[in-house]
Amino acid sequence: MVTPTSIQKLRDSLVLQESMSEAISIVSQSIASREITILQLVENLQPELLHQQAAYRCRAVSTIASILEQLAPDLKEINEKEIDLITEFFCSKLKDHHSILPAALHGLHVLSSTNRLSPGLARSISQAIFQDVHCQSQLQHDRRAIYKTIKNLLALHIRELQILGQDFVFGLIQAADQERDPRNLLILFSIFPVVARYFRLEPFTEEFFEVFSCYFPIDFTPPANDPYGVTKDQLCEGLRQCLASSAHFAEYCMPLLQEKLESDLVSAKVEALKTLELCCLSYHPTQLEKWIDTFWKCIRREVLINVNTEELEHASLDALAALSRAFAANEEFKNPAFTKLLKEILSECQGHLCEPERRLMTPSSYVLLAICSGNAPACALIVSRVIPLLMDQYRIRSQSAPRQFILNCLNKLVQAGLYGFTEIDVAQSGISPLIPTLLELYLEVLKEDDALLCGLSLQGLGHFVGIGLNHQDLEKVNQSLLGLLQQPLTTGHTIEEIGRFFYKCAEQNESWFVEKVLVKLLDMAVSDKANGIFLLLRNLPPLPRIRAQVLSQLLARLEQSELRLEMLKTLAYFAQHDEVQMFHQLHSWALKTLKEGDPPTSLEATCGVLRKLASSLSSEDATQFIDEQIGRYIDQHLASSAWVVPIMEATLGSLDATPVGQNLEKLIKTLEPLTICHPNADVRISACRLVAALINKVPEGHELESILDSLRTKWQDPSADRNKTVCLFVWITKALLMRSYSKLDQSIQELVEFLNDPTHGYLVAEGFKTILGETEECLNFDSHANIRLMYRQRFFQEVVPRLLKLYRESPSCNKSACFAAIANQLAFIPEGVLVAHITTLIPLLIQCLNIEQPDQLIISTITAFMGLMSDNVNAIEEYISSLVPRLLTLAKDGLTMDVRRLALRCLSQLRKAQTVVLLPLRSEVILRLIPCLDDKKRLVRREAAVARQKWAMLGQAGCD
Amino acid sequence: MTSKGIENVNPQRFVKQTKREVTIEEKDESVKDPIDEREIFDLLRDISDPEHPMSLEELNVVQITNIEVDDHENSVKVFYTPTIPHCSMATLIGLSIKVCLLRSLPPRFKVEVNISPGSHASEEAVNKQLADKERVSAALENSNLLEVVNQCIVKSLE
Repeated sequence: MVTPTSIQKLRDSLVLQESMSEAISIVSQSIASREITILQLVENLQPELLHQQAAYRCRAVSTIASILEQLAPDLKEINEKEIDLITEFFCSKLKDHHSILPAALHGLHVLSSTNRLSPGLARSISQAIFQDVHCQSQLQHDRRAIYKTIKNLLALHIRELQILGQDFVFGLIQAADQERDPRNLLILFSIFPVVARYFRLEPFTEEFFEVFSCYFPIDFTPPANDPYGVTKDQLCEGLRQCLASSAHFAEYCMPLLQEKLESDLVSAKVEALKTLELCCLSYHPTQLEKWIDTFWKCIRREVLINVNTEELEHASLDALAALSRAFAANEEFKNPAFTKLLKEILSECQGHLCEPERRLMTPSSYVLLAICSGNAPACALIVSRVIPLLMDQYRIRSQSAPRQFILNCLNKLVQAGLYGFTEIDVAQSGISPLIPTLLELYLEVLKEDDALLCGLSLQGLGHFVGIGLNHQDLEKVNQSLLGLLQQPLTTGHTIEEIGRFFYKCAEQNESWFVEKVLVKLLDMAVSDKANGIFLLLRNLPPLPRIRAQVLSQLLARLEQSELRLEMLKTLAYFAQHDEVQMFHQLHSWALKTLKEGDPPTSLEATCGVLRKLASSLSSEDATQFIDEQIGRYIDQHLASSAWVVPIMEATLGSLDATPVGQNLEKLIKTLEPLTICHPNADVRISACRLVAALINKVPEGHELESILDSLRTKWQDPSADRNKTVCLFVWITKALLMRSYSKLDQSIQELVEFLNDPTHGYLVAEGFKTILGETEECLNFDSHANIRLMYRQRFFQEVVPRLLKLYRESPSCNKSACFAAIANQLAFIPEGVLVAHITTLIPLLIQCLNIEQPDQLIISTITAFMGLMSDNVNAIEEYISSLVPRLLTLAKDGLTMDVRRLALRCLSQLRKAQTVVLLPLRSEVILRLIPCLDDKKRLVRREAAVARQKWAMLGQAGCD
Repeated sequence: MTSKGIENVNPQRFVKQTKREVTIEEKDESVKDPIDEREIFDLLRDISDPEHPMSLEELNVVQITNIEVDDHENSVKVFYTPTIPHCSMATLIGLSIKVCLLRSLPPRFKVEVNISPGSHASEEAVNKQLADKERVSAALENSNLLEVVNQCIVKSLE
């Protein structure tokens, strides 16, 4: 037989002990293309496979395994008979020299991942592994291969393995016992639950349980820089699944959990409780019943007696809830052990609920709620007992504090009692007979002159909406709420709660709400009889009938000038898609309100609504609007008042269409002079923004270039006021940057040069905020702007090197503008990008922290530092020793209190850095903060006190 | 604290005050805000009780009416009320209050921390201890004691 060349090459490199990867991939390709078969390969490697030296045999087996791996997991080029033979081959290699074992295991692992093993093979693989390999004497890597093989076999061939029955279980116990490696344990923890569920464990149940229960509770801290990323949580979760995987473990698991609950370690207790929670799902109630009492004692101790961390309290309550859920079925509910527990809990908690001013009231209510959750009969029982009790307690108290506690508790129980019920079956809930009296109580509370109690009452009433209130009841509630709204003393908090209640009502039954409530609300709103109604309207769900009603009522009354602002805001909230008619109506109304001189007070709000409506017009409607309006804007309206510019901006800047050709040319020509020469700043900025919005959408080409050329002469005009040209230039740059204009580079260069202007550089630096920030008026997604992804990062990465170059190479440059330009960008750049530049930027930024710098610059720099620190304090640890003294100086001598406060807050936040880094600075900080404690401003003193206390405690016991 | 030591499992609790509203004067750079009772109260209210995860305010241990401040005469007096007359934590609470004030008030102030008259069995002894500078600093040398004090204070800084 002729040896194929690819195999010959493979043999050569095998003998020469060269790197095999190339030869391996060639051979696997030829097998994949069916030029040779795997059997040919094995036959041709016979001399090596039968070689006297184990090292040669090992290399040969390993090579075959690697080739097989390249073909896995389908192995479609290998026929079944070949798979049989190869499997047999690797199994037999397990009996060979111990050094060959890893290679053979590798091969078996690859084979186990295919679903083409013929019947019987899975069984033989597992038998071979269990018989011929002593798992725990292998290296971690090889043990892992064994476990993964078993996991694969279980996933694909579980029926076959089930035939092996207890032999498999025994083999697995032997292989897995005493495993220590966390990575391997994770695999094992995913195998055990499957085995526990699908195999008969007898007579090895206890042994099997022991194999994993010995790890409970997991105590594991991953090594620093752990490349494998196994966490304690993963292990805990895995082990929990094992312990709870079969009801057969109950007799061993329950004592174990109880023992851990008695431990002094909080983490052990939490783990035990979480495991108990899971076990309650899989164990049978008869197995749980004799332990109920024991577990309740432990949970009671954690929740009602000890004062604990939240984690332990939550875990305790969750476990209790799970325990209660296990006895939810009708026959289980009558279980004497559970009945006894219920009785005990009720009598204890009822006592505490009668003392609402004491601490234990709240935890007792949590205990009751835990029992209620998921156990309907217990919930009905508790609700029917406890709610009347709480109502009585409420009535005999007169102070606000205990009444608040009671209402809070009552609301939670009402919610629990109604959970899962609807209007149809609410009669079956335990709460249904109590509804009339509850309603009476809640309405009574609404009459109290106490905003907090009112709010709680409204929350409670909210639970009934759509479940427990009939139309008559609702009518009654609404009467009182409308009454409340008309009282001048009703607070914002109460109005907010009323709004929430109405929201629920409106969602539940829109037409009823429109008829009975909304009409009255609108009447009250437009007749100005009550405060806060507009706010309330703006918090209603924007459902079609509600919208129609609100819009028609308000649009008709826009003339009423004193409420106009509120009306416009409300219109803006309800204005939605494609309201062409409303858009035109509002647009012509807005134009009518304009006159010479000051702008109408409602202009801004009007523009807001127009913008929203304009942006939602279809592009056909938009084009039509442009064709009709541009001429009128330019010829009629602009002539009578310049305040039409903001309206033009709101409409033309937000439409899903752009003027073209002559229209565009004419428009730009008209706006150009306004951007720089108009005396009013608002008109100028508005004009700049509109021009920018238009430029942003014009396609690249001759038209755009000629517009830009003409604008460039404007902003480069040396005779014009620099302050005004900078503004135009900044907006144009923003428009070009967002669309990734092809000659952007030129603009950026110009920007950097502008920045170097000694008098106006700082203004340009402020412009960086405009360039990167979101603008509400235009150039955003809603206004159909042409925006490329990640334009901010691109700008930052382009600009920063140039700024650094300028700063380093020209000593006479405008340094403070440079600092400011960098600092102003920081807030907009994702942390990930910033971190890459951190080493170059931080020394520069630290120099900004100088009292001589403008306040705004200091504030934005400190804010940037705090932003960096919040996620990535390690990145700046290196610079802390130069940062801290500067912050201390600012904290004491900063000119404005905002600077002083922020410097102090930054000092407090530095506490997140490693104690080792901070300790050398401690005494200096404590000393230099003393004068700040006597700052003349109270707000500064507060920050100083926090900062100084934090630093004073640095490195002391009890503060980590 | 372990469970065995709890003396008052079910203490009375009180509603917390709302946050101090920032006034126009406080925002005005040119006005000097005097140190007042509420400012001292705000420093102390969130210190937690050594036994419970509740604040001194919630337990009514410190009340704004039991604080006396004289900004000109540089004196601050705080009277605190232990939850029960035999509370063995009284000294510890007093110590936490004192330490917090020493760390966060300008050194010109003379800080006195006392038990509200008639609210504790060994009132005099505790007052004497808290007034004695050397005993206070000696107590803070004890790392176990310092740990508990810091744990009480640390929550008020969040």
